[in-house]
Amino acid sequence: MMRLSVLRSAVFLAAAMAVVLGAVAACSSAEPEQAAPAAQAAPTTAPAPAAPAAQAPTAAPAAMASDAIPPRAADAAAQRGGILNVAYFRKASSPDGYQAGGTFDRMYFFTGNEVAVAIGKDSQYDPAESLAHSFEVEDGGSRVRFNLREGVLFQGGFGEMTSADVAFSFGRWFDSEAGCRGCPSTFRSVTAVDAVDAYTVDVIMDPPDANLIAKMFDRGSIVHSKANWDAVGPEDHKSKPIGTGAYQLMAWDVGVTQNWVKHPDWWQREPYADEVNIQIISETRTRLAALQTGEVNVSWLQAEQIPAAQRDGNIAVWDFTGVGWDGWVWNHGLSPLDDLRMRRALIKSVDRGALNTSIYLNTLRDSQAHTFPPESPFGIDAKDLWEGEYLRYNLDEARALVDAVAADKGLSTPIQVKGVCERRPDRQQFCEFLQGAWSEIGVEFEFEIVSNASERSDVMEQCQTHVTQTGWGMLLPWYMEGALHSSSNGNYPAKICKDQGSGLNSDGQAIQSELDGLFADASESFDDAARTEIYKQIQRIALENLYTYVPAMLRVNYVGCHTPTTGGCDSNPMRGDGFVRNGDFWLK
Amino acid sequence: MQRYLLRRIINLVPVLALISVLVFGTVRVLPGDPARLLAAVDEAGYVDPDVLAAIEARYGLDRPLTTQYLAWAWGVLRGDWGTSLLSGQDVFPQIRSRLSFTAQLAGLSWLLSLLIGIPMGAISALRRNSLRDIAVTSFAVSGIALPNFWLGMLMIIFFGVWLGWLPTGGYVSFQDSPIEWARRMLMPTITLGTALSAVTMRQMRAALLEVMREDYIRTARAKGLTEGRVVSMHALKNSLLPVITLSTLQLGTLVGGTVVTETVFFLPGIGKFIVDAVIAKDFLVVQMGLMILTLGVLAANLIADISYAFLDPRIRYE
Repeated sequence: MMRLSVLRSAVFLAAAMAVVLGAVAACSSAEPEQAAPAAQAAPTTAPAPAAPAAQAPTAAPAAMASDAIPPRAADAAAQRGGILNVAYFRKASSPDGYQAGGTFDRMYFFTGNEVAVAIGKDSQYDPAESLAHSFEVEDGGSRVRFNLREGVLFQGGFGEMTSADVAFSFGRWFDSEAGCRGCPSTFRSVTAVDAVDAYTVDVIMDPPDANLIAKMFDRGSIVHSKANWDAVGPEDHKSKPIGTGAYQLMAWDVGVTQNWVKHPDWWQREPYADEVNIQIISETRTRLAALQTGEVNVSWLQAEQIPAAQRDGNIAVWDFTGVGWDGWVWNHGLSPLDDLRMRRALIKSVDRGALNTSIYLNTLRDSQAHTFPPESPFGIDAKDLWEGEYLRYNLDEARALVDAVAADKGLSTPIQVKGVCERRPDRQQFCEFLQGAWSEIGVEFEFEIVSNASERSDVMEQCQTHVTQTGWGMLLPWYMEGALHSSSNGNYPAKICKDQGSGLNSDGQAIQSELDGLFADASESFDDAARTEIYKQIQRIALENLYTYVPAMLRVNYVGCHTPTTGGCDSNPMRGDGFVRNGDFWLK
Repeated sequence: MQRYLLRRIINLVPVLALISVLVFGTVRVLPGDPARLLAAVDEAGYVDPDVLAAIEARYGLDRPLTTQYLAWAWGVLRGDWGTSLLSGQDVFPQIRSRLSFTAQLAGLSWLLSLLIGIPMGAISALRRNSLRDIAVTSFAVSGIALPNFWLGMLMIIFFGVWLGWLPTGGYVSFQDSPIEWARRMLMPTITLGTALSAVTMRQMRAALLEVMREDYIRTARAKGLTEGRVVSMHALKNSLLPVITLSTLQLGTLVGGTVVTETVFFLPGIGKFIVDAVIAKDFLVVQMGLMILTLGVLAANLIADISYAFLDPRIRYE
């Protein structure tokens, strides 16, 4: 009997082993779904260009101009081949740049997506990396003509990029569902996109928008193959885009990896690496370890990783300031925040240096400006406000302001302020910091925790909550419209809550009118310097009135390269949007 | 036995139906609107009402919950698991690939736990109150107390960064490179298996101590058998029965319990996949993921019941 039992135990264990080995075999055969479009019916010829329009282009012949602005030459030290490993910190939303949801998603989707007008390291138009080698502003600014490069081939045998692809791609501005979510609002002045001839596209606007080019720098002018879109449809395009960039997406294992292979006919040059693997490593310590060992060549760095990365002799850490802010948005239509003294008190009670040290490990910058740092071409120097009596950190002065507001409004202290924060360590800690700081001046800050930005916005839209802690990516001045303009869904007192009992008072309405007027002036000013001055004026007014959002800290993006294995890191590789392009790096 | 099996499998049908209602309901009552999340613009989070309405219509989120449930259940029965809201990819292949990975990790950890836990538990029981027993019991307590993520992190720093012997994480399929597969599975398996082996060791120790007090052990000794034969032929096999059956039950829960290890070693497992989907409110992925995990637990229960009969000839299912 016992022998039988031993035999059965052995058989059972063997069966268990077989189950495991079976799973191994099953997994080996169950590879992630291939996103490669290779099996799709790739067109053998380029899509037919649109019929030429009656009006002849006024620009120089495209081919000549294109020759005049060649792509940037390959780095002399660059080597070819190998697999470049890049670490990203969270689940990617879509390799189709139009449908990618997050600010930080540029880190991966620019691996294969390219834009008609690219942003350079100086935050200006960089024709050498743009699919449109030049553009002209015509008809008083109501028409912008884009001259496309010839001979730009799409990945995967989808033929040459023509104006039909560009017009189709720009047409996605108006499709907020399968196109670009924020684009209908961003490009609201665009009335038509016309393919003039095979290499010329007109964007028609009414009224003119002087910010059009700046709005297209980001994901707004990505060009995808129309033939591929027609073949796969809107839903599949989310995971199977075909662009003109250095690498073509071959596989996307959601939440795990993206595999991009080189586009051998890339118009700029032969891509440096054979493949780019983007790995999602959400655990910060592991991501740093992978970078330290060289398993990962390039990695996005977060606050807690940066000191260790900077100490490591094998890692080059690069940063870029001026890509956004962290702070809070408030509904200052809601009492007692409708009183400027109250808003000042809430700012004056926050020690931003301590905030930066305790939560961000000194990896952000406490703003001495508004949305952009003083050294940025768009920034203002507002040291006089931040360090002067108006906004400086001083608990006694802040307490006096709160007492004055309480007396005038007949409120008892502590004054109640309601907030909403996201369930994310840094954001929760930020809210706890505010809670502690504000309790020192007779303000009781109660906040609820929600799981993401859309829920946070949902709570604010009920118009019963004063403050939400947040941060936004703001690369260029026109982004400020999204929070400060009266038509913006991010402006709670002027728009969302206007008719819900917490709209602007008369002072607020006057400021809002002034801001709206300045935004209108800026969008009509085709003189870059004059437009920049208007945006500086807007920032000054917003800061003096503590209007809508408080950019308490300026964001700094950090990226790390493992220098023994990775080339392209000798100088700061970040573009003016604060992100790198994976095509810039090679394996040593 | 066949009739018993058939009856158990048929019994699973109403259980699964009930669970599907619970899973569907739970996912829908969780705070957060998936359509709103999908429609939100970047970090600002605000939403255009027209876009929101279009997304709700596209994914049927504007229909009554009962209609949504029936449509989903009918789809699952037809083999259509739907598509991920986030990626637009089919849910089925994503779950399949992750489940098979997690099955490997869970299975290897489980085997490791048996290979370590059973002998250590036996040594501990047979040398009760000795130094060996104290050492083994200390290991068990440490294994249970040590958080997975911390042990994993220590191993990454020690074997990955300092010594450079093993990769810090990631996955390579067995088919692509058996050696690389083994190198990458080693640390996660040890991380996950350590806590399990500690539990197994405790169970084995308790079971063997219990058996060693039985009359038939005394009889065996009275027959003049050596202590080694008493242990190997009489005590060990009988004490294995509860250990193996309880371990089988653990295997079921283990499939869903690997999320921390998967996160630390950036592995493509089902646990992390579901957690990511919960955060992203990707409800079709969450629903199917939870259903599959539930099925895994039910299957493990069934296997455990069957293993009783298989390992102990006295038990018969009619």
